[in-house]
Amino acid sequence: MRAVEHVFEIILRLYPKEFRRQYGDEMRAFVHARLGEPRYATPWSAFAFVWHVFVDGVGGAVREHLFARTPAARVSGAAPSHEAPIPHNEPPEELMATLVSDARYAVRTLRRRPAFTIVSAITLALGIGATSAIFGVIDSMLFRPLRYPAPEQIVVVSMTRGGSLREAPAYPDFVDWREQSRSFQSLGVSRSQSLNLTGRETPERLSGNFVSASLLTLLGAEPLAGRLFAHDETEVGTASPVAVISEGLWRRRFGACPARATRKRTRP
Amino acid sequence: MRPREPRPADFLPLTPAVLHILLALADGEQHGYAIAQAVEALTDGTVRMGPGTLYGSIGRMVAGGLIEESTRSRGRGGDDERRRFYRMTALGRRVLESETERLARVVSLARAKNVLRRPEPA
Repeated sequence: MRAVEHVFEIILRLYPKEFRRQYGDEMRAFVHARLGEPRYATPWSAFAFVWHVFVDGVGGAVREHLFARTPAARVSGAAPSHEAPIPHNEPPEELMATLVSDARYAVRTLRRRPAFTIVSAITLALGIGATSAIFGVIDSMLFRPLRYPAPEQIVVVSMTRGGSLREAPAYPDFVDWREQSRSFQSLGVSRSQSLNLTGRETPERLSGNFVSASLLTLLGAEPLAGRLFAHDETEVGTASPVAVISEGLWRRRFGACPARATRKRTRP
Repeated sequence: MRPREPRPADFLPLTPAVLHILLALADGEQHGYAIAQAVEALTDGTVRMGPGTLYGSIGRMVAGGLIEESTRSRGRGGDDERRRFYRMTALGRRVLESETERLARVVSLARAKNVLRRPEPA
């Protein structure tokens, strides 16, 4: 309970000095009374209350600073018609002095309670870190375009069964699409496939894909070493099956040898 | 030139917080915490005001003349001495009447347009 009131004390420092003088004590009494209510007895409900007070308090502080610059009373959802802009009473240098004074007071308060400060800092760090991580994922998945040439023109074509099930087409179907389609500049196909890497000292099970040569070309892939597939190397019944391997596998199992990057047989 | 007296229409539409605070004070003077509790009870818990919203609204309502601090002494009847009591002014009551009349007209309009869901039969 005491910790919540300490948090609220910090939030209160965000409010304009005049507002704090007018309503600070009442707001403290309000929070104290709320914390005494039985519904906030469990840790989860107390946390929900803290969150509510935090959001409400910070939002309220921003509003009060804005209203402090337009002192005409605003109680309506729209500006009253008689409301005229009134010059701000507090000169900018005094406003800055107030902010500096508030910041110093906050630092002194935090130094007096190191345990509380450390817990608050860790909580903030975890919160900001988690939020940043989630935003990073959402940003790369939803907001940023795919890192391929002309990403807005790339589509995934699937077959349906019963109207909803997505599944990859059979290879002969893909060949028909490629030959008969006039809607696409290029069509590629891919199917995930586990593979065994053998012929070395230790065999290894790898995750890979069977792909058509056109897929890597249309996605703008560039080999770090060696070359990509030639067209006939990925057709059914090709006499010379080849693989394009990841940089990680190339370094880990082939010692990053350029000569071996060109061609490597695999056996499914 | 003397500024003219504010009219109720100048304050409309009210923010939800201001409207509910006025409704809570319609029965008599109360302190901030009691106002928040009354608003929760009036709205079945759907409107829950935190201290920032509550006292920000109270501050602007006092400045606008809709409510005023009561002369009731602090700490009477075992209340927390930090609490002040507020009551509605005559202007506040006229504003509340105007706002509820305005809302009633909106409800009538919605009913005429058949966009208001009828209450479930008991």
